[in-house]
Amino acid sequence: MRRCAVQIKTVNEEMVRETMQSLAKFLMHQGYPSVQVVDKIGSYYVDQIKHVIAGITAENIRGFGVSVEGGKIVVVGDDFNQRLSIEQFTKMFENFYVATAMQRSLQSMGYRTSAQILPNKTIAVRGVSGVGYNV
Amino acid sequence: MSSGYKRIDVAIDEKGKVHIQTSGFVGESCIKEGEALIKKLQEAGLEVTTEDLKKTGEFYAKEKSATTVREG
Repeated sequence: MRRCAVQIKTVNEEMVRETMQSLAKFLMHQGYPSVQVVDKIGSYYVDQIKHVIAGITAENIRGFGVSVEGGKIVVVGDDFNQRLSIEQFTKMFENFYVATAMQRSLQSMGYRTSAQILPNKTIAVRGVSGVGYNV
Repeated sequence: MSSGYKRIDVAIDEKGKVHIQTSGFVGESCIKEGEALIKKLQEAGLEVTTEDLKKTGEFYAKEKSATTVREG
């Protein structure tokens, strides 16, 4: 058993989009209606951020966008009076991003992968290899 | 390896700590597979620092087997 601290050092834009898709599915599962992944989150943010890689919007989420500045992830959004604060969204995004990287890494090592979110919000990723064993 | 499959279970907790557990490996191969995974994550742009490492029964299985062979 190994415990690691993980930080996102270099951001992969394709993985950001994939992570946003996973996050949207999770938020819908959590009761947020019609979560959409968009490529921009409105002109309000244009002055604050030049290029949003991917954004999320829904009835109960005015919009969170993810960008990269100086190689670091930057999250912008309006969380006033919303169920999800920008800090909560940022942490969720980071954890989902690590889970996405984990699945890709395991797959490149020949593992079949699956992932699920546990009730305590832990993301469980499983990789298996070998004949006759299902993920 | 004594069985036909290998498994790596990863848990990313709410605080972002990553817990990795392997099964189906024997001896040092479980450590090496964990290190290979960390290397892949680093190549993917993540900075990974191992904070704690606990060896399970599978790690010691090889040593017992090797001892048996030498004694035989």
